Amino acid sequence: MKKLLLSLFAVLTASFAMGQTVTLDFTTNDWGFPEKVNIGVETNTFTNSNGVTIALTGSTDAGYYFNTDGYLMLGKNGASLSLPAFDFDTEKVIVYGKAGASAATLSNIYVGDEAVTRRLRVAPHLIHLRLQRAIRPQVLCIP
Amino acid sequence: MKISSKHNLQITKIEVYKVGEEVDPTPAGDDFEAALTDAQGNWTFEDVVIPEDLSYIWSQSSTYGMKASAFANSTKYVSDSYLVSPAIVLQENSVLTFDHAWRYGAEDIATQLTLWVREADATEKTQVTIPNYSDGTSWSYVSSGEIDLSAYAGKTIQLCFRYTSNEDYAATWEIKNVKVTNAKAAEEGPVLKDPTNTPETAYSVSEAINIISNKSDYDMSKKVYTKGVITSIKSIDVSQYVRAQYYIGETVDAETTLYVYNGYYLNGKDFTDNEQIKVGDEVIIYGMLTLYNTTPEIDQNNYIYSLNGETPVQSISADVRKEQVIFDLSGRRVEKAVKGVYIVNGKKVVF
Repeated sequence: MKKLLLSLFAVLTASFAMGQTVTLDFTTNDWGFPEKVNIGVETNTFTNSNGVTIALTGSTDAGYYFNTDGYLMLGKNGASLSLPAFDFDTEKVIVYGKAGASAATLSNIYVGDEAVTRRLRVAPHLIHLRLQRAIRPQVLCIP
Repeated sequence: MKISSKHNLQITKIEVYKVGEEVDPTPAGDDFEAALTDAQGNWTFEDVVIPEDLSYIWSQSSTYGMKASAFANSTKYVSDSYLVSPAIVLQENSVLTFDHAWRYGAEDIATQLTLWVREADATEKTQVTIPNYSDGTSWSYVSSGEIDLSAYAGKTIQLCFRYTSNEDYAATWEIKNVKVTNAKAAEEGPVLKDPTNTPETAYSVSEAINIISNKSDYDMSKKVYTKGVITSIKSIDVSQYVRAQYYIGETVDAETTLYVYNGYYLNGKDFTDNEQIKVGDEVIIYGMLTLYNTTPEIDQNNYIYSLNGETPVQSISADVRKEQVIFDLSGRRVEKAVKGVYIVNGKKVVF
């Protein structure tokens, strides 16, 4: 089932071309995320009204859901959000956290199994990740 | 590309920037402010050239804020010294202002008293213009005027106020009420510059040596965790420099070892007893890897993060010890002092 979903994810995103900086907004549930706590644990794909598809995977002790306060909750250790492939090189990704969120959250970005984050900054509202080098993100094959 | 989290991550937005598109839309936030009349705080002094007769250029005053002068004993001394702010995270459209006063300087004071910006983790500084100086005829403070820092939006920087003097002019410069809008002090505590290297995933000695050998592929300017077993102890200085020099390997009898140069004790504290470490102890060292001549080593200003598996309860600042800045008597910065007289953190020291 997971392979099927990932294959679908790859197909959905393969034709998705973006030529400029991309913003993914999670303050509204334009994605069709589940809105019940921890309902999502297994990998699923979600597509917003702009045709951008992402994949979410929850961990075994927590899942993912849209909180009606205006954010996507993703947890815990081992959970991930996979972005589609882009048709441009990137070296900078900014992840905005909900105001007041824990400052202790540690995050990282991977391409495949390789951690590509050069600098990890943690702030209550902002996770600012500078990649080690310019990369062209590919669709991730989630293990 | 996957974004993962070790804890609950509450995401409101993700932005992926195309290379070359560096405009940071971070919304405006708090302001960074430092009166400088209350305490020195995390501000530091970096002396590039300091005369032998002086022990400092910059000092903190509850009345004048930060004050720089190289005039003493009725003599104008040649000097070059920076007042350096703590790391400041800038958001969009940050503007710097401060109040300052000066006297006894050259007519072209804007060449003697200057402002520079240094990005975190960098050594190079870029000069930025101070719009307003007083006329130098009184001690009345004037506002610097607005200094646009938007070029550094989204970056972590340090402000470097540079004082210079010569045998003809040795001004007195006073600075206070520094304010940067849409900015805040960088987070305290260890900054994990390489998230793949943590105390739990510390490099082994062989990994560290491999990194040192292939340094062209690696950012050698960052501090990392390296674990090993103490194979021999060269010296422990418990009186003057309160640091130790020793070797670590993957086992106590390992032939391949890494030299730990001038390291502090657990939690960055001073060595006070020769028995605090011994051969066979398992340590995790937090410090910068380097190749000194042909010797792979962990550079000075390192410290023991954990000793035989025990880590101090209190948090450890990555920069718990002030970096040592060493100059020879010609004013040239050197990596290490050998035999002779040097200026270390503004003080004359005989090695």
